[in-house]
Amino acid sequence: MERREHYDPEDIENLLQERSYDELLEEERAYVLRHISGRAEYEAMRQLLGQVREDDRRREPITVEPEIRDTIMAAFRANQRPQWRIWLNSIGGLLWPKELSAMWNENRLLRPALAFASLALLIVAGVWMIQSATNNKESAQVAELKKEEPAKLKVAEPSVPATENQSVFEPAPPPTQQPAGSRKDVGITTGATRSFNEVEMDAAPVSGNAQPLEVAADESVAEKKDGNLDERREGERAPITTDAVTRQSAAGATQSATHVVTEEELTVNTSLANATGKVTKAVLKEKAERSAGISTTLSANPELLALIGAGW
Amino acid sequence: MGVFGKEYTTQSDERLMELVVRGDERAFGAVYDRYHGRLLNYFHRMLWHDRERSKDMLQDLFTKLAQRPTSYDPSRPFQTWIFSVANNMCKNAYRHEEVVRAAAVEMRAGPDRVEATNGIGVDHELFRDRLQEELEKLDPDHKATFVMRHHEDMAIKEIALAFGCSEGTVKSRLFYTLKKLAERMKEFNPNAVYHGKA
Repeated sequence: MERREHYDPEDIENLLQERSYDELLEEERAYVLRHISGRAEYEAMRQLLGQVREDDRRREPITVEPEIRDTIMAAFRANQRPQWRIWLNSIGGLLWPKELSAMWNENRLLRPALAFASLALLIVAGVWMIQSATNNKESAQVAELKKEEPAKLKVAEPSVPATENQSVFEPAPPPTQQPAGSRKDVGITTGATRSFNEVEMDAAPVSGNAQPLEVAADESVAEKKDGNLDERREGERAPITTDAVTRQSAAGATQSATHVVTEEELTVNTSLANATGKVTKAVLKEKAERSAGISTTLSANPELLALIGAGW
Repeated sequence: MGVFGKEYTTQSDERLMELVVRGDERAFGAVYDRYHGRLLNYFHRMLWHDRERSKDMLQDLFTKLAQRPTSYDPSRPFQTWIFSVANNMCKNAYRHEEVVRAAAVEMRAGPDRVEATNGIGVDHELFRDRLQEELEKLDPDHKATFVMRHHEDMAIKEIALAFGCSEGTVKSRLFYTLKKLAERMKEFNPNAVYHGKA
């Protein structure tokens, strides 16, 4: 009780709750009287405090409607829900009524889900019709192109001999790429060189595959011996080359490192060379002679030398 | 750690609020169930015993909490925090409706009621109205301190935390509020009547 002397005036609340004025100890009463005028005020405060507590006990608690709780919980759920889900739900609610039976009312066409589904169906049907019409047009165009292709090929096939008759000022046909499947092996540069090297390295061919190449090379050497590359020879060159390459392609399918020159590329190269006027007979002869001086093996095939000098 | 429905009632306020921040709906429901009654009574006492307004305020308070659960400061006890928020809402209501409140006080005040209490028995309804009338005349902080202490049974320390002041300030407010009310409502004190007659 001695501790009460150190209490602040506001701690009188404890005394008011616990004891009446008459029950206060001497020290407590002295302490109370330093802040309160006297017994009447102390008792009035004590009475009021008791009445407040009593009133609080008597008071019926106020009840909250469950709707308020539902509203608050809905607010919490809405806050926790991702925005995209809210958006989807709003769309879903718009399209799809809660009661499924409502989908089959009399005004079913007014239901957004059915209306949008019908609209989507119409759009899909329209797109399909447009696409099918476009495809028909494209297929007709493709058919026309297919008709043109053989004509082109016919022109391209005798390209090497034909270049002789082409004018120098005639523009070279643009290089066109053919699909790999339609590629026709016509000539070989590196592959042929390799076979020539083999010839150089090996006096006699080891495999039967190299045999045709050797033959072709021998033919070229024979031509070289004649010392003339006349037009007749050149005219004959194409079939020879084609034969050689056909044999080469059959034989050298395993040579993965070689570059296969297509008939198209060969045509382009020759045409380019003719167009620029770089290939002349004299030049061909000079080059053939020069290469004959450098390497006897390369000189064995002056046609390839001409091609290498002109285009490659 | 999973928190099952049975455990929500035993979790502390602060733990529940952690779960609420993470989006736990049931935890939020538990917080609401734990505090809605006390807060509604607080609003009711602070806002002129207006039930509808008290419900609106309660709904506003929990809607704000639902929308921004992160506004709760985890370093503070939840009870003091939620009551301080409620108190601030009441202060705003006072500011906005000062004129209406003054008019309401005038309408409620009447000498006839005081005469009726002259006696040993105390009419609790009249006492309640009179107390409310006198509380509304007080400074809002003093009134809120008194309500928190004597109606919500909050500890001095909790009230101090709710107001962001010292415990001494809270005790001083309580003492002088009680002294003032006792002075103004002495007609309800049977002893005073007895002494007066004597």
